[in-house]
Amino acid sequence: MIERGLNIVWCLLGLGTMVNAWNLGLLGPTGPDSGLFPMICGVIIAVCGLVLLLRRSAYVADPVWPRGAQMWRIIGVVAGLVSMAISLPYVGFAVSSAITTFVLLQAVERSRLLESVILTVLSVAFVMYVFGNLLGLSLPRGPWGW
Amino acid sequence: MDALHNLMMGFSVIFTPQNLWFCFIGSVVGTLVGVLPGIGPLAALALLLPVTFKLAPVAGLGMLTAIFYGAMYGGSTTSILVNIPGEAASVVTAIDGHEMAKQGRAGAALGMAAIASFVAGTLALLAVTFCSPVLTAFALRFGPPENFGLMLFGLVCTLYMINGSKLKGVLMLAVGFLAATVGMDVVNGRDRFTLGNINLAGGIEILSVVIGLYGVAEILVNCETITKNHLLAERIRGLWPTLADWRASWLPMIRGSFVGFFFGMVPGGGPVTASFMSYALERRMAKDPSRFGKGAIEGVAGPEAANNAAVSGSMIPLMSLGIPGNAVTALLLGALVIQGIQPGPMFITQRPDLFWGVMASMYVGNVFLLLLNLPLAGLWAQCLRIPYRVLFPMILLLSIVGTYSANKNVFDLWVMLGFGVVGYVLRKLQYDFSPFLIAFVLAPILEQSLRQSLVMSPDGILIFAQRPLATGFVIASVVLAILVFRQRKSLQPQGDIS
Repeated sequence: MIERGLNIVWCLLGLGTMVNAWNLGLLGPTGPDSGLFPMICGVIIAVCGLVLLLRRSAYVADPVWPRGAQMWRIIGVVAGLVSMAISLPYVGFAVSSAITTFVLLQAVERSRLLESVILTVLSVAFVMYVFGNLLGLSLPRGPWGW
Repeated sequence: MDALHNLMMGFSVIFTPQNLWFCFIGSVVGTLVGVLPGIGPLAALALLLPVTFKLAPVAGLGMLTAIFYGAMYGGSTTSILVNIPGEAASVVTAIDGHEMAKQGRAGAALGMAAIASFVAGTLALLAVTFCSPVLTAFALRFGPPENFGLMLFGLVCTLYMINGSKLKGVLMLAVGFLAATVGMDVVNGRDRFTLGNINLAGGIEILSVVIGLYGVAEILVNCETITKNHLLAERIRGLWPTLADWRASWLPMIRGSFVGFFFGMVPGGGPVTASFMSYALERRMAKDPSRFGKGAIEGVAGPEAANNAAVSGSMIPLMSLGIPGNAVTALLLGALVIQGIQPGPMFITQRPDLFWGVMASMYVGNVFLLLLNLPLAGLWAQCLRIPYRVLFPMILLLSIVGTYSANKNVFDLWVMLGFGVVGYVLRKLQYDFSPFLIAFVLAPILEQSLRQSLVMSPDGILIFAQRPLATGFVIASVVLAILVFRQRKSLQPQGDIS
C-alpha cells in the first residue's frame, strides 16, 4: 500500500517536473536552458515510477513496518525533532535541546529519571562545549542570553 | 622520485600538533563506530561533517578519512569476539574470526586482523602515492568538455554500484540530479523549483540532505528496537600470531591487498565487495577449502587486508578525478565542496598540499590504528556494553547542531527532517541512497561544464567530437549505459539489497 502510494508520488513528481521544466525552457541561444536537465530528470522519474507501479515483481516482498510501541517510538523521535526545530529560535539551543532530549529519553528510550537527567546534562554540555567553545560555532541563544 | 618528494611534503603538512590530533580523533571515533553496531561509518561521517567547518581542510579531511578506515579496523574486533559486525565490511571476518575465538584463539585472530589491515593499508597507500603523478599529468589536459565527459562517465558508473533494484537506483539518480537543480540558475538568474521560497534560492543545503538521509533515518531505524547490551567476559591473550599463522596468512594478506585496492578503485566496489571477493578467492585457492568457516586464519587475513586496501583504493578516483565510487567517498566529496574546494581532475595540481597531506595522514592514521587496536582490543570490545540510549541523545543533538551550523537557518532543520523521514521510508522499501548522493554532488558540475563547453564552442555540440578525451569519455559512458540496460535481468527490480 505504502509502496504503491510512493510509486504514484514518483509519477506525479516526474510529470510535475516535466511541466515545470517545459515552462523554464529547454534550449537557449547558446545551448541548454534552465529546463533541459530537469526535463530529462522528470522523464526518468515518471517512467521509472510508472514501471515500478505496474510491475508486481518490483514491490518489496514483505516490508517490515513498525507497529505498536515501535511506531510510537518513531513518532516520538520525529515529534521531538519537530518541537526542537520550532522552539530553537525562541528559547535557544540549551533549553530546547535539554527539554527534547529529556522527554525523548523518558518517552522513547524509557530511561530512569536520574539516568535521563544525567544523560541530558552531559549530552547538551558536551555538544555545546565542542561546537560552541572548541569549534567556535555560534549556537542559537534564548532571551536570557544562553 | 617526484612522488616521494610530494609525499614528504604531505608529511610536513600533517606533522603539526593540530593535524595529528584530529587524525588521532578520527582513528578513535572510526574504531568506535566500527565496534558499535548502532551507527555505521556513513552516518558517523554525515554527523561529523559539520565539525570540519572550522578546521583546516587537511585536518578535517584527515579526520573524516580516518573515521572511514578506522571503522574497518574496529569492525573486525566485535566480529571476532562476539560475532557482531559493527559495520558491513566486517561481516565476512566474523565467519572464521569468531570460530577462532570460540577455539580460544581470539588473540591471534585479532592480531592478524590488525596486522593485515595495517599491511594492506600501507601497501595500498604506496600504490596511491605512485599512481597519482600519472593521473596528475593526465588531468592537465582537462577543460570544460573533458569535465563534462568525466562527470557523465561518473554518473553512468554509478549505475554499476546500485545495491538491489537497478530501476530504483536509476530513479534515485534522477531524483538526486533534480534536487541539485533546485535554486537559482547561475547562468540566467532564474529560479528553479524553489516554490517561491527564498530559503531555496541558494539550493538545497548538502548537509541537510546528508544528515537527514544517513543520520536521522538511521536514528529512526535504530529507535524501532531497544538494543541490548553485550558483555565480553573472557580475557584476550596471545595477540601476536604464531609462525604457522604467519605462514598461512602472508600470501592471503598480499592477495587481499591487491583485490581490495582494485575493488576500491572501481565504481560500485568498496570495502564490502572487496572483503567478500577476497574471502571467495582465498577459499578457492586453499588446498583444503573445508577449513573455511571453521576458524581458518586466511579467512581473517585476506578480507581484513582487502577492506582496508579498498578504502585507500577508493581515494584514487575521488581525489584525482573527483568521481566518488561509493557513498562514503561521495560524502567525502561533499566535505570538499563544503570546504569550498572544487573537486575534479585539477585537484592534485591545484591543491597538492591538501592531497599529499591527506595521503600522509592516512599513513599516520594506520599507525595510530595499529597501536589503538592491537593492545586495546579487549577495551574496544567492552564498548559494546554502551547502551544505545547513551548514544541516542548525542546523535540527535549532533544532527541538529550540525545542520543548523551550516547557515544558521532553521529552514535547514526542516529540510533535514524531511529527508530523514523520506529516507526512513525509502530504506524500508530498499532504495539505495548512494546514486542520489552522487548525482546531487556531481550534477551542478556536469551542467556547468556542458554550458561552458557550448559557450566556448563555435561548432556547438560538435566540440565533444573534436576533443579526443571528451569523445572518449562520452563514448565510454554511452557504451557502459547500454551494457547496463542490456543486462535486462539485473535491471528487473529485485526485492533485496545485498
